[in-house]
Amino acid sequence: MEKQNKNLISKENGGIFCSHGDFWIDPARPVKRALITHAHFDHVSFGCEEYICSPETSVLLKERVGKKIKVKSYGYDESFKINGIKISFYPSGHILGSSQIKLLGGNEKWLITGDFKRQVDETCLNYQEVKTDFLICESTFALPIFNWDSTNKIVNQIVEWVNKSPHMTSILFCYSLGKAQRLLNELKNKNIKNIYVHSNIKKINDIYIDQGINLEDVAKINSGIKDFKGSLLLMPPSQNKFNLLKRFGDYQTAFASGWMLIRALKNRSGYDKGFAISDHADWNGLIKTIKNSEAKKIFLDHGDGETLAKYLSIEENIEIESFQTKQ
Amino acid sequence: MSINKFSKLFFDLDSNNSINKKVDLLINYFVSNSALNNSWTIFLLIGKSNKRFISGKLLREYYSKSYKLPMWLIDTCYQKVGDSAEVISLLLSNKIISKKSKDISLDDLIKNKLPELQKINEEEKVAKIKEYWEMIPKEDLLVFNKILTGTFRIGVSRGIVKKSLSKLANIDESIIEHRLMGKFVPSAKTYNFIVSGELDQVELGYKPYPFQLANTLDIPLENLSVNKYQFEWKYDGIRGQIIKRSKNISIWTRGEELVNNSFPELVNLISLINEDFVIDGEILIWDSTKDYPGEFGLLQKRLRRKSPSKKIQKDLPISFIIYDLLELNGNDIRKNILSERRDKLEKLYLNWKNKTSDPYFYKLRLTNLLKVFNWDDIENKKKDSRNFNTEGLVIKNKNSSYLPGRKKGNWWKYKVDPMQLDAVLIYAKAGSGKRADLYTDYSFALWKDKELTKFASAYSGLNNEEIKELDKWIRKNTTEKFGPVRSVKPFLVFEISFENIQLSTRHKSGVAVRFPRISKWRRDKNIYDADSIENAYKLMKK
Repeated sequence: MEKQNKNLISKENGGIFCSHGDFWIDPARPVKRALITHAHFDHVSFGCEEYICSPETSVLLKERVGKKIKVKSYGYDESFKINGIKISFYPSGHILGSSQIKLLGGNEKWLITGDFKRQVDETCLNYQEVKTDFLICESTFALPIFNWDSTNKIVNQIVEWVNKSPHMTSILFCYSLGKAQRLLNELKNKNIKNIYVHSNIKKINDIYIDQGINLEDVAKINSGIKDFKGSLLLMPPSQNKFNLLKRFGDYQTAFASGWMLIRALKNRSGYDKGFAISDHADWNGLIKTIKNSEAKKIFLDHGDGETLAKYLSIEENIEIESFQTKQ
Repeated sequence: MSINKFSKLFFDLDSNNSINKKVDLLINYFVSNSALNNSWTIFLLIGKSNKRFISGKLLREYYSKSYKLPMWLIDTCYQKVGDSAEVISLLLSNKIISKKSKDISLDDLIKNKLPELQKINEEEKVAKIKEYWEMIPKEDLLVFNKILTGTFRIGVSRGIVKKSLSKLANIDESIIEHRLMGKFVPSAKTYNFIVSGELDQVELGYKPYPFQLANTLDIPLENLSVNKYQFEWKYDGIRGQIIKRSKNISIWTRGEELVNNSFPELVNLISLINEDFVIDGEILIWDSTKDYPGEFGLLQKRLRRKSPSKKIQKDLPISFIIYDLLELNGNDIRKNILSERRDKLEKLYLNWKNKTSDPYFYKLRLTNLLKVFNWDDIENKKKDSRNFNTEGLVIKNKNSSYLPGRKKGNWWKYKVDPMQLDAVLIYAKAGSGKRADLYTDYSFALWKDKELTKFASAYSGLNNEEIKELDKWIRKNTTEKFGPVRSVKPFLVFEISFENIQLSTRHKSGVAVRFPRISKWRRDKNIYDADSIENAYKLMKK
């Protein structure tokens, strides 16, 4: 992005900036006007004057950032304008309310994917392919070693893991927003004695149910129950501390994340077991999205973007570069 | 044994961090499988199979050739994963593999199929490996690749296997340990021997005894009463055991390698002794003119020769320094106390020495007992140890039996204080194995003509918190990347400890250090406070 002032979008200190429209996308610091792809904290900065996002994201933002924030929301089928730039949201399949953002202005067409996955997840709208000229694509898992197994296969492994140890408490760590709800939905008709969730997850579950997602109302861990043997507990990773877990007696732990595909990462983080289930696209998924977007110019954000950029430019002659907004 | 069965065990063990759970898992496994199957399992788990059929790098190249994926991309993945076998199994999970997957026999694979790889040319090898990859079920490929690359070490250490077998057979761990030593041929007989309630002296006869090891001295010297202990130099060579029973001689290293072929002069010398015995000691390069050991580097050089010529034997002369006598004429005397064993050893040695006419008798020598009468003597000896090319002292309780492993309280090592220099971090590389994708291999520099010159690399010494903090810092302060290596802004200073320093033409700085490690993160120092190469030279002259 050499001639930054010529393009509609530029990488500024702290995020993606549109100077014509005078707004930011997922800024890392407080700004005047922020378009938000989804409500994970690494995409949302506290203290912005105005947030603009999908209706579901706006509900989540109010819960997580504060009731008093100023939020404007637009559905996936309604485009809108800011300072002459036409903006539309498309589902990205990452979590409830997650959006890709398309911008039109000054003869340029841009798409910012935000985080996305191509796998089906009933707790949010399916990812939608969008054509564009300029693409900013996430690339968290941009190495050919990352190939996701089917969701059903992983979920069956989780069930087996729990049921194989009926005398233990099985504690599965996962992100409170998105991953937990996806897992709960997938585990709905599986044969597990009992499932309980941490209060942080329960809070998000209530929002999902409120937004019309078909989740069962799972009980909180702290609701007077004493015996968790043979049960599955979902907790955020921050709870993985011996002091907090010792009350469960004999227990086993696991983490649900794409990173768990790598044994060294699993072993280093101290979990007994890893389940490689991710809300991001894998290597082939990223390449498919990039190719199908028909973009002339591509920027990769996060993770191993550099590697995928090098691969596609050498092997496929695609004009592409790494574009790290964070760090 | 089928590869699938072993692979399942591998993942079960890998999914439990608790040692007790791993032990229970293994006991269950041993109980429900055949003796033959179990002996193969032990063979793999304790690393007896560490034969490498193909190097990790070649494995990556074969994948690159078979599936047309660029090598640089595979290498990038390798940096993230830290294990070639795992990288390839992850990459393969993405390949649409024909449905002809079948379970294959592990014994047949290791005994017959894989050794055949040595007989075919490179091109045929690539094709053969690809054929295996597409035949073996996906979930077993990691185990298969690990057998190929000889990197079989699942967090299951020998200790866990030993514990399980001991619990299962209700036999003392030290006996199990002895039975696991030395050569291991997987068979039903081998397994039954390991767990049998009866001692089979003939079988044991071929095996070295488990070595006794010393703990670092962590109690005040004043708590030791000097006359209860025996004081020896701590030599920096290769610990070994020589077994002589009638005509059979075996020289084992602590790493359980049989090294008769590397030291023919020693075998020859031993064969001239009448008595049968097992002795514990150290193999060293011995400089007869100075009467103290040569540098460890020379011993390494010597070891590289599998069958050394007469010239090598002359240029790099070795000696075996005897520490202890474990068995005499068929009697295991490890339960006898040290002072009695030493008496027997001295008698045996002097008797032989006085009678022998062998001109090379001096290649077998008794370790000297140091004359020490009080604490000051001990301190002085320790300070003096560098002058004799030793690492310090070993302090042994005269009243103790010879016990396997690092039993606390009987043997202490009292090592000379390390040499230290403050150096600047200049490069970092991601580690492998557990430290994959973490920058944990560091290079440090000293000042030389106003420039920072690399002088040592170190991997250890920081705790996990510091490693994480440094990893973050390295990522933020990278000035250049070349392959897996990052050069970083010269900013952080570390105190580097090492055991020895020598002139070296192979290193840019002109010096080589032994056992470098980080002893302190000097947050209080800036790069201009770091040491110069002249300070390194000064250490050498001491």
